[in-house]
Amino acid sequence: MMPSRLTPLATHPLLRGQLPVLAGLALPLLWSVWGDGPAVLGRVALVGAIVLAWQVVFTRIRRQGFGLEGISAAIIIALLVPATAPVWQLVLGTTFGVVIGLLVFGGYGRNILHPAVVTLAFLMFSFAGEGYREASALPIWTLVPALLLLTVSGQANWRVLAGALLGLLGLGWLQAVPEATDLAQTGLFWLVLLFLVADPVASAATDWSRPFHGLLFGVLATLFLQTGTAISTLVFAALMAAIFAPLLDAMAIAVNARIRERRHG
Amino acid sequence: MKVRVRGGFNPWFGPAPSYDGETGLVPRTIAILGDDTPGIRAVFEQEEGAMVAAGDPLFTDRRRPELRHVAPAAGIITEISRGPRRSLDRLVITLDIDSKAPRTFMVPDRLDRNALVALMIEAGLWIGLRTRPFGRIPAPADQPEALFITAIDTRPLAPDPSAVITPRRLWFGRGLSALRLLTSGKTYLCHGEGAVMPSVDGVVPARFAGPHPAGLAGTHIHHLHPVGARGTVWHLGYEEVIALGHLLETGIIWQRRVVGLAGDGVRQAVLLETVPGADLHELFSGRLVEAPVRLLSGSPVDGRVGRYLARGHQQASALRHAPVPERSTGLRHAADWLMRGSGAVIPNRLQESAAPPFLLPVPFLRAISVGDTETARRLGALELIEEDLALLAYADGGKADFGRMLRNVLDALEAER
Repeated sequence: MMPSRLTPLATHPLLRGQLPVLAGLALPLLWSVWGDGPAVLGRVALVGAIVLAWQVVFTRIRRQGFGLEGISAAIIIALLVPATAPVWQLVLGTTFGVVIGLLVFGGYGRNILHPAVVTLAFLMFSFAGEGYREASALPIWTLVPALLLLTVSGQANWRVLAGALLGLLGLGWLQAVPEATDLAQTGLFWLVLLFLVADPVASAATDWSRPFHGLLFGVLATLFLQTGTAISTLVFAALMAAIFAPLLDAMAIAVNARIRERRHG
Repeated sequence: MKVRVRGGFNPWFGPAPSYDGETGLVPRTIAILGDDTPGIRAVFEQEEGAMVAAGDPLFTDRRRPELRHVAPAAGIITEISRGPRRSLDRLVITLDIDSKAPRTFMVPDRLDRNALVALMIEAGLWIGLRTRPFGRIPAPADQPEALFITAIDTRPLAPDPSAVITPRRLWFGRGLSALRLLTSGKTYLCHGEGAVMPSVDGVVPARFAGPHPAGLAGTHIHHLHPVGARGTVWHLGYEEVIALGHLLETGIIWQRRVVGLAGDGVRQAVLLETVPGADLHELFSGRLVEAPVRLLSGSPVDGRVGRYLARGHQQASALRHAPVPERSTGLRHAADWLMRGSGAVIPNRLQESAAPPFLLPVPFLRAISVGDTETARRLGALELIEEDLALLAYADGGKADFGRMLRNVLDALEAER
């Protein structure tokens, strides 16, 4: 239980919104600018403009509001696509990701997949030869602020993180996949886990299904790792796990309802 | 019996107030609000300008005579105002306490269930009872499987019930032993840690520990006598028990209620014995800080803004308004952008601790916000009333009215029965 003096902080709308996400992405972005030059900022601007344009179109029609979740997704996409990616492919991929992954469901909070995951999976599928399955390395320490910010603000649930580590390292140990242990020590793994898998909306929505969602991601990552590159492994494992998250939730709901029926008649 | 409630959290509205001693204040005006008995179709027994004594009938429901409201104290009815569709908005009485002697009620020597029910209805005490599921005022012919007396309050800034009960323990004990007659099942007295409660034969004391919502009747019912598709229990607040005891002991109604005034808008928290339905402006007069405040009847998490003390509320809060910046700066705009969203439920760890026991908060909130009554029922809507979701709404930023959504679901489920 938290000390009650801290509750106004924990319940503050700034912590519930995209501030921790954007703050957590600052260091990986800085590192990327430092290593690969300011071209990454151009990609952030391009992808961000496409996302915003679609958000404006959809929310105008529906008379809704939208927050900064599109900008967070744009930064993640820009960080994970190669520097050589053609502009038209980024436009196409981002459009697909943000429309199909986010906006057709009714905006943030009603989507089931993370728009960045949909975008990346689309680009990897459609343009296999363009190097989307390679990503520049990210040191693990750049993700430490994100880990703290997202877990303290309650956005990334520790149950998902624990399940993912257990799945990855456990199956890696059982099947003797040494790459699994190496993967857990990369910044890329933590970036995908914290921002894409443990995203509060795209991950499972009950405390009972959250560890299993993480576990599924970890197990799938270990299995895919034996055939693919790190980034494709992580993105497809995140995609599959998020697709199954509503099923895990439905199972948790069924168990809850069954226990309640037995107890309450 | 002892139950430690897991989870929960105490929202911070300043340090716990120290209510030293108790003072009295009789306000000039009081009001009975239509909101206290939602859906009532009032039939008035008095007209505007009539002089009433304490205990005189004021109005009742067109179809349910047990929803009888009586004058809490003597005075003149100065206003009866109607709301939309001829509902009752409020009935205002300008008090003149000593103008008329309080009405005396016949208390039978040997009390049985029928006599008790008739007396409670006659004296306007029946409307304090609530059923679970649905949180309605029960029909007198129904038999609850159990009765819950709530003598614990874990809402932020709430006064300690034992400080109210101890000086009135004779009345409380008398009311408690009479209330056992209402049910053939158990009568539970739910109290907090360290509370000294009068022990009455046949009343099962249950001690609850933990942060809010450990003090809500819904939590007690969940742990001691769960209800759902089958079964009904009733619950009642501790001040109603004192009022019943007073009536049985003296033959006249208890013309007072004890209310704690607290919040960051008052200079010193105070425990005040006043008249039911008191004008909050008068209660807080001279006690407020030099800043804009808003007055709530009830706690900061589940109170309602209004001028008069609502029935069943044991506290009133004065909260400072958040300072409004004089001009909108770029930083302010950026912060607004960071905080806005699509209005959907965004999962957060906080919801799990703010949820009532054994509730899956995110699926439940999603179900009630789209009006999916069937899923809401499977996930436990029948165990809850508005107050059980107040902490979740607070944890969510207070933008969505989960209580209203739950009531819509409950109305639909009740209509299906």
